[in-house]
Amino acid sequence: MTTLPPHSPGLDDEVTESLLKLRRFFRKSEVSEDLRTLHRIGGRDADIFYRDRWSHDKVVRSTHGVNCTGSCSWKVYVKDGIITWEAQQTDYPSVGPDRPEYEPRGCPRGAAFSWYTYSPTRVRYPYVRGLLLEMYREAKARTGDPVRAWADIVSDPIRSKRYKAVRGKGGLVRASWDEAVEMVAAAHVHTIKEYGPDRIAGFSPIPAMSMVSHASGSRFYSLIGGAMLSFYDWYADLPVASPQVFGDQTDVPESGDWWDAGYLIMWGSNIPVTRTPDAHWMAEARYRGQKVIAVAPDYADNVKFADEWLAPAPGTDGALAMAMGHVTLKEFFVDRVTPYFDEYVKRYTDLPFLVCLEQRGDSYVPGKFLTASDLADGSEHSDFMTVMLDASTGAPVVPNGSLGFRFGAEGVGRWNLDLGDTVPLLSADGPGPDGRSESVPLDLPRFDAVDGSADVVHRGVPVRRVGEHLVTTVFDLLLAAYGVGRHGLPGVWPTGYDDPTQPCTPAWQEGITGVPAEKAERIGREFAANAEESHGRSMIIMGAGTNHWFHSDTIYRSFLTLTTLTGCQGVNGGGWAHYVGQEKVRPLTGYTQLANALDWSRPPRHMIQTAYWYLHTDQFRYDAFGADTLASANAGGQLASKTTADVLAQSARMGWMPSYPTFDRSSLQLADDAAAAGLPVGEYVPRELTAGRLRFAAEDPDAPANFPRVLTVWRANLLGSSGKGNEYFLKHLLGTDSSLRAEEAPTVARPKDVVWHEEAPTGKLDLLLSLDFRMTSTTLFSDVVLPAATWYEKHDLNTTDMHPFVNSFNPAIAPPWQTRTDFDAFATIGRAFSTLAARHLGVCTDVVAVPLAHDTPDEMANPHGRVRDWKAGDCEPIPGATMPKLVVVERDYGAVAEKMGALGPLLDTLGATTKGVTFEVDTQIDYLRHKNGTVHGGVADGRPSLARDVHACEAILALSGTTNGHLAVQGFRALETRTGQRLADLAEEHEGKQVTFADTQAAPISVITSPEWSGSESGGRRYSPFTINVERLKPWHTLTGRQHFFLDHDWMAELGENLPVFRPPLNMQALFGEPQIGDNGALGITVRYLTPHNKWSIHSEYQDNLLMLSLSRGGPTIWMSTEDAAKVGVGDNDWIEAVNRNGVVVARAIVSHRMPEGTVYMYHAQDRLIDVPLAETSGKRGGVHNSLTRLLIKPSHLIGGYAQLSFAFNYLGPTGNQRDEVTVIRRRNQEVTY
Amino acid sequence: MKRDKRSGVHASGPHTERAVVYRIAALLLDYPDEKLVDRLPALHKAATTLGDPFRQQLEILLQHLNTTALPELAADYVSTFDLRRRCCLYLTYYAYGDTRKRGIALLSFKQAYRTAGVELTADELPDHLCVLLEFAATADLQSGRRLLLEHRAGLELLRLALGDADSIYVQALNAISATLPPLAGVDREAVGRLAADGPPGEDVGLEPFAPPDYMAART
Repeated sequence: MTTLPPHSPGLDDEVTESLLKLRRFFRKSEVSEDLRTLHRIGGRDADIFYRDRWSHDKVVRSTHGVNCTGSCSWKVYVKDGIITWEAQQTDYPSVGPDRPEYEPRGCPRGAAFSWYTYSPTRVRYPYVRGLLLEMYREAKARTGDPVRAWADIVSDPIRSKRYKAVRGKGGLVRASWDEAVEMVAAAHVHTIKEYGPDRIAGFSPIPAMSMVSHASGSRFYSLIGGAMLSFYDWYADLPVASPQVFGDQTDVPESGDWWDAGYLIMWGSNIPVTRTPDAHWMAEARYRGQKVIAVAPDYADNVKFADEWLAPAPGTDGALAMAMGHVTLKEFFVDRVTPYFDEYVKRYTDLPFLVCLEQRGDSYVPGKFLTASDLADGSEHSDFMTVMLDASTGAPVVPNGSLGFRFGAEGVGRWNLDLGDTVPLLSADGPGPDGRSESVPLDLPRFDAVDGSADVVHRGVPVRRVGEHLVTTVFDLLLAAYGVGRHGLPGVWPTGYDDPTQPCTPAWQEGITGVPAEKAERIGREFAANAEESHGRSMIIMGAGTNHWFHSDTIYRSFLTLTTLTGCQGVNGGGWAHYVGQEKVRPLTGYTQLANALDWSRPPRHMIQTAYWYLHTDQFRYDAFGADTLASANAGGQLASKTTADVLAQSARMGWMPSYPTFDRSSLQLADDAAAAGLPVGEYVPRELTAGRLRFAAEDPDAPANFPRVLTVWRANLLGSSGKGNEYFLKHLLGTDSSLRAEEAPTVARPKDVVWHEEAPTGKLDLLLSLDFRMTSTTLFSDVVLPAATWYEKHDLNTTDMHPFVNSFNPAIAPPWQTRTDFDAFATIGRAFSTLAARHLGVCTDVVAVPLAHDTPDEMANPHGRVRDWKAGDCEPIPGATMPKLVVVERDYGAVAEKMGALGPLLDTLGATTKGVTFEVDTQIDYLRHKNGTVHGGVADGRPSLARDVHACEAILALSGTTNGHLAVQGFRALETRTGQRLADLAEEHEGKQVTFADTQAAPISVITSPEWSGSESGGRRYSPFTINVERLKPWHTLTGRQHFFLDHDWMAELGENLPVFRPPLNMQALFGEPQIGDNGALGITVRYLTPHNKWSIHSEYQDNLLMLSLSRGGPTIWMSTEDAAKVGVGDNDWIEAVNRNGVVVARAIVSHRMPEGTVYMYHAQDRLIDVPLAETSGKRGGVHNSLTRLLIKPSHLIGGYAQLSFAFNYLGPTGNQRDEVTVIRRRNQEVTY
Repeated sequence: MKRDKRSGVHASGPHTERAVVYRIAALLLDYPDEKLVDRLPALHKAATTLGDPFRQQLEILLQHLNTTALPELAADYVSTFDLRRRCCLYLTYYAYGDTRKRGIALLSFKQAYRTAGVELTADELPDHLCVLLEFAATADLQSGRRLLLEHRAGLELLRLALGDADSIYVQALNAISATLPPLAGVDREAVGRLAADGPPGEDVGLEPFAPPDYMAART
């Protein structure tokens, strides 16, 4: 600070003059000698540009980059370096004659986006919380080293508690990029040094929407050994039924294929709101005679487009679907044989396969699939070859195409759906080869009581005997589960459609859903009848309304039963159409290599995010019920006396699901220890585990050594959007104020295998870094915020599942202020990291524990899906079989930046593998050397450069089959060898086509049919998934190679979910002591609390945009029914408080007849920056929508190491579901303060 | 506009005084850093050459900046100007909000700067108050004042918002305001309207969707 001079009145010419010469922002303009820049001089003529506003300097193609499935190409108009206008592009390739085109694409949210560029809400500079920055500067000055400075702060409990406690309370100051990034790099280096690299995590969702931006950070984390957190399962957008049924993450039709459907059900999917640019297909197809049904509990925006509206009670959709399935099975399979359906299910589903029955008392329960090994067949992998009966001989047959044929030498040419001369026997009904007809009683699970409690329904099935095995077919089991009786079978069966007591009749569902029985029956019949007549052109568009529940996998399996029984899957215009979150990375192989840095080191660490936060935000401490609470009445007790945390730890140690941090010792230390012991890691680790000297970190997540220490969030809003259990995050992860009201589990209900610390830790995380272009609930709590470029300021690639084109991003303007693209930001971080790491870390050996992986031979680790827990003494811990694989990876930490900037050599030797198909990419590497140039010197000498974002775009396009015809054909040829089926012709028409980035800059480019996906686009047809499976007899990636109705894993049986079954929403009263829905007490009325997508902020736009705030009411709102509002005296626009054990929300009520009684909506992602007042309940600021939610993990989502139930990133994992929650709402004092 | 009308540093009188006010305000309203702290004595000296109320107003702010620790100033600045939409320093935001008209409005600033023979070089938008004030002080006082007057409503709104937030920075706005004619007429109404409604919303696509004759027939 300086002392001010004494006042000296009068003008001081010298001072004034120098001051007025001081220019910071301006320089004299110059006209170039060639007069290429010319400026209008003088007078009012300067305003001529107002009249000239339509003449732009340039028009740049770009799109919107996070979450928006639209993938709409936009024209961005630039004049004099300023973005002045944006408009929809109209140059999509035509979809062909006789059908509507893709253009125009773009919605009001997209059109409002560009003004983020200049909005005052833009993040323009790097920010660091002032307190932390001061600590850092002081420590650095004292220690003389950034890494030692960071260590000095975080190892001091007093200082670290201080800076963590002020998270979310302002105090941000601007910092230079250099300083901010140095501190970030120091935190990474210190964490790796002290705890190991798997204590670091990165989170960025939905790569398809801007894959280079995603890959740039993901590549950094993969190279340093950090964990990338999953998003699809975390968002609860992953339909777990898809891996269960199809063995596929999610593959769906493009929207243009809606046009091909003859019958369309929109089920929990509000298309005009959430798929705005595609909704026209649905509207137009009606004029072609398509019948449209809307299923939604509320009068949603899409309802008015439908011919009929069914309004089931929220979360009961499964019951409706099961009743429709009941009608389909009865009328199209039992009363008469429908040839199209019959042929379809025999060839493409597991319905004809045999299941062993196990005796329980006087009755039986379904057991395991009969396999070739049960027939004493000595074939390779015979445990994974399922068996059917030949209808002509009644003898067991092992058809081609099951998992047992997929990987071994004997299976070459036989992994296909060609049945040869075999005619599968669909039902065991009728006399067997011995002339006897036999049937047995069967106990099947039911959960249809109001409280969801487990019970049994007595049915029966026809059986046959194969050797000593009593078997029946999946079809017979399905009929029993759906209550479709046949003559002479034991058990209790419905008396007719009008029997309300027996699952799954139309009358039964009416009591659960409220949908009239007659309607359920008729719509079910119409759906199937249309499929019969059109050969599979009935479609269900299914959305978050049915997919975000705890038991959504059962809901979806009941939907998929409808589309599969009726032969709609793999047919244009038919099947499931799930549009929730995933969004397709069409150039998948290239993206995967770059994002995971597979060109330099394998494997990356991929973590299931739901489990990560369940443990690391300590939500597990508040679960007072066992994992067997949800078990079937037939359960064998495998989940008994275990909490969810115990089951999670078990899944981790058995190698089923990933678990990072993995061990209670640094993964770098572990490698050194093994070396010191003179043992290979694969021997040393099991020995230490067995001896109890080494434990899985998941068994003690609250030990400081096992905390996650550093988290980076980019392209995401964890604390304002996806973080279920927001208050748990604030308290335990961040160590700041929270409104958490829940009580920890009592002693008796605590985990057995997981260590309980008497005092729960708070503030586990040392550094929260976020990169964004706007302030969000996440940046508010971040220690460091880096300013990001928007989607009109970078090069990138964008694809979607809604249309088959590759779009590009291009900078209309350079990133303004101090913003940088994600690509540049991570390059900067990588350089700073490498500089410090070279000194502090050098070259290290890292032990990576990897779960058993889908689409690899790992799927055969657990025959028959039997649980083998080495810790329980069931077996020895064998890496890659009964525990995770242990892979040793060398990490040259000083060379991370060099590796980020070049395509590494592993691709030359190992190729690039997607879904089991390995592509050899030598030619493409060579091409990229010329296209991008090569690196000179260093570890990447001679490798293709990835120095710029466009280089990354070129690499992704060159290395993927969808954008490089050579690779598509090559991949199909490889698959031809394994399947013995003709496939390469699907891509041959485009063998010479290679999409370059320049192509995507010129126009949206159609992709090429490729083995990376399951549908064919050959000849310009519309994309529908599984058409290759159906038309070319290529198996699904499942146990049987067919679509599965039946799942025989131990834990599926424990949960009573071998087959589709109706499970109602969770009973929060029983689990957590919350009041019952409809209770109206002193504290208010209890209602179901749902958080659907917001009309005014998804997907390309955020709520904080002023246009969106004007269109909505602005500020936090909760929609209530008129009935509920009347009960507690709430008027429209009144301030209300919603309270449950998880937290508190203050909002205005929107009272609307649109809402059904007993349910409220608080739209997703209303950020806490926008008008959130203080709560009466807590005295603290009211929360976000996730303040009232929390995580609940379904044990069956943790299954791994078995056929299609094996882990792959974003393919399988526990969902972060949030719809089963309830809350109490009351009118509050109308005077709010902020 | 003729060159001789432009304020030069050699002129003295009210023109110079305004230029000095703008120059000082531009520097004080920028992010507080070491450079600013080093410059404070000179600014203070320059401020003493001014008459009241400018001198008084700027000295209060100078005093504050001089006696408050830099980290505190920085955090206060960020929470005042970077994170609060109502106090943003971008003048066209007040008039056009987050609408597409704002691009054209930004252009008008850029063109005015060009016409005056200077080019904006820093990574800042042309309508940033500090940019405009520097322009008026060092390049073209008259044209700069014209832009200030065109955005008088926004300027006043910013002044009111800073006052409401009890921000010391309101003093700089008071000084700038004092260089301009008293608020009256349309501007006054505009301030009232903006204060009540906030920046305007987008109206593209909201025009009546029907042929004009049909619309006429209806009325």
